[in-house]
Amino acid sequence: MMPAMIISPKGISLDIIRNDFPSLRRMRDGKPPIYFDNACTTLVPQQVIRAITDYYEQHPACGGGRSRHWFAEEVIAEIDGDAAAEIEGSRQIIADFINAGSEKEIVFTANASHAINIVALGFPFRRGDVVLLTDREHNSNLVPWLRLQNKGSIRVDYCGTGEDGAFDLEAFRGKLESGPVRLVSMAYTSNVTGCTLPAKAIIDLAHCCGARVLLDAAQTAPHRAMDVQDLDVDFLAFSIHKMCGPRGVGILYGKGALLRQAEPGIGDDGEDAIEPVLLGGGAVHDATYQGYRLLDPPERFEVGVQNYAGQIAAGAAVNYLQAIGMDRIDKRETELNGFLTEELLKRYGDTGWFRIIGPREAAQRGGLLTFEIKRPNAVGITEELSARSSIMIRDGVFCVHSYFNKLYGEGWTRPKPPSEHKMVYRLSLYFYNTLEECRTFLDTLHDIFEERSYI
Amino acid sequence: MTFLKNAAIFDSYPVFAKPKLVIMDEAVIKYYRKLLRSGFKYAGTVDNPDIFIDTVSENVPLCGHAGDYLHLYIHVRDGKIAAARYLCTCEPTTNVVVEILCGLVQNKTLAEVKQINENFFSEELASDGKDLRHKAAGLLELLHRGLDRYLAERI
Repeated sequence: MMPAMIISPKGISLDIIRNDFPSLRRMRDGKPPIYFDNACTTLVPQQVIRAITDYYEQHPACGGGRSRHWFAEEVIAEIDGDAAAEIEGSRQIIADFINAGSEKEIVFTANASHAINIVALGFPFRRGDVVLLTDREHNSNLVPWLRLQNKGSIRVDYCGTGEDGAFDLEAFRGKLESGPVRLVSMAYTSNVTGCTLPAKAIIDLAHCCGARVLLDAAQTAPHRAMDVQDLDVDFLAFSIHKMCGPRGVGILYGKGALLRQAEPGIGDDGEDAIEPVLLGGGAVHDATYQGYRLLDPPERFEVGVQNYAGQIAAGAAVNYLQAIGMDRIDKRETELNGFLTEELLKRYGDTGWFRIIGPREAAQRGGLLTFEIKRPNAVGITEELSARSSIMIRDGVFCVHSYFNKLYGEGWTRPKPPSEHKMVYRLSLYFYNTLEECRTFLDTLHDIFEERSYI
Repeated sequence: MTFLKNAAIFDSYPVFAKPKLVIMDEAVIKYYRKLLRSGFKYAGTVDNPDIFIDTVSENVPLCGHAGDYLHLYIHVRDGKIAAARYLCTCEPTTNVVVEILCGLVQNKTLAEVKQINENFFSEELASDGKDLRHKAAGLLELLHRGLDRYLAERI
C-alpha cells in the first residue's frame, strides 16, 4: 500500500509544518533528524517556543491572582483569560480541546504521572476498595496504585488484554460484578500496542457498577479528538509535552463535583471528590492558626508558584494541533504506520523472529509500531539507527516493566546466551513525519539486519 | 560475590567516556558472522567461578544502556585461567570482543593475562576499528579489576 501522501492539513503544506520545528532543521553528519520517538515526547514548534520565551521576556511574573499588577494581570489573562480584552486563556483552550464543561475542571499539573498521583493520593478510598487496571499499564498508572495496595488501602486487580491488545468487555464486566471496584484506572491508548480502549463502553459499565473511571490519556490526547462529556469520564490525565507542548506541564481533568471536596461548613459536594495532595500558597482562601479554607478548584490543586510559561505555552500547543486538525493528525499517522507495517511484515513477517506487538493492522495502532526481534545480539539497533541515519526510536520496556516481565519472564534482559536474546523496539509517529523518513528507516533497518546476518 | 562487595568503589570510578556511535567495521562483521555460523564457543557459565564480573555493577558503559550487559565467569587453576565463559545482552561488537577475550585468556597465567591489551584484539581481527578497541579496552579494564580482587582476596 502506498499512502496517498502528502497530506496538506487544511491547506498547510507539510513543508510549512516541518519548517515550524527548529529541531528538524538540524543536521548531523549531513543527515537530518528522523524523529520516531514521539510517544516519549514530541518536537516543539516555534509557536510554542515563542509562547515560552514571551512569558520570560514580557511578563515573568506570578500568576494565580496573588499579585495585582501589570505583569501579573497579563499572565493571568494568558492562562485564565480576559473576557474584556477578548483573550482566551490556555485553561479554556484546553477545556475546549477535550470538551470539558468548564475551564474550572482543568487542573494544571507537572505531567500525566503527577495528575494520576493526584487522584491516587486524593481519592477517598475505603479499606477493601478495588482499583481495576489493564495488564499493560505504564508505571505511572501502576506504581501509585501498588503503593496504596502495599499500605493496605486498596486492592489492585487487572483486566487482561488479548495478544492483539483487544480489550475483553465481558471479562471487564465480570471483574466489576465480582468485587467492590471503586475506581477503574486505565491507559486510554497503550504506549506499547497503540490500541485504544473502548472507553465509552468501559465507563458506562463502570458507572453502572458504581465505580469511577480515570483514563490515562497520555497517548490519546496528542493523536485524536476526545470529548470528556460524551465519554462521561470522571478523571482524565494527559501530558502536554507529548503534543508539541512544553515539558513539565500536564493536565488533570476532573468532573467539577469530583474536584470539590466537602469541607466542614462549606458545602457537601460529591462523596468521591478528591482531596488536594499538596497544600500551600496559591491554594488557600483563608487560614488561621487553627484551620484553613481552600480555594475552589482548580486553584486548590495548583500549589505554589506554577510553571506559568509552560501553562501559557500549553495553550499554544493545543492551538497548533487544532490548526492542523486532530482528524488529519490521526489519519496521517495511520497512513504512515500502514506503510511501515506492510513493508515490515512483507520483509520479515515470515521469519519467525520478527513480530509486531499488538494487532497487525496499523489502523488499530494509530501511530505506534512496536516490534520484537528474537535474534542473537538483538540489542543495540536503536543506537545503530541513530548512528547510521539519525533515526530516533525507542527500545526496552517503555516503562511497562510489568507487562514485559509477564510476557518474557522476570529478568529477561539479564545476560543470556546469544541464542536466547530478544529485544523490543518502538516507533512512534507524528504528523510531521514523512514517507521518505519511513523509507530511510526501512532501508537502514534492512542494512543492519543484513550486517548481522539476520537475513 | 566480589562484584557486590566492591561495586560501590567503582561507582565513582572515572571509567571511559561514552563511546561515539559507530558502525561495525568489516572485520567485526566477518568475525560475527563466523560466530553465528559456528556458534558462540564461549557462551555459558562456569560453576563457582573464582572471578565473576558484572558490567552493570562495575559501572562500565561497555554497551551504553541498561538491558545491555554482560557477565563474565572465570575459573583459575594453578595460577592459570582454566575456563572463561560469558552471558550477555549486548550488541554484536561487544559479543565479538568477549568471545575473543575468552579465547585469549585460556591457559594463560594471571601475569600473562595482565599483559593483554586492545592490540591483541586488533591483531586477532586485523582491524584497528575504534569501536572494537574501545570495547576491548573496557572489557580488559574489568578483567584486570577482577584479577586484582582475586589476588587481593588470596593474600
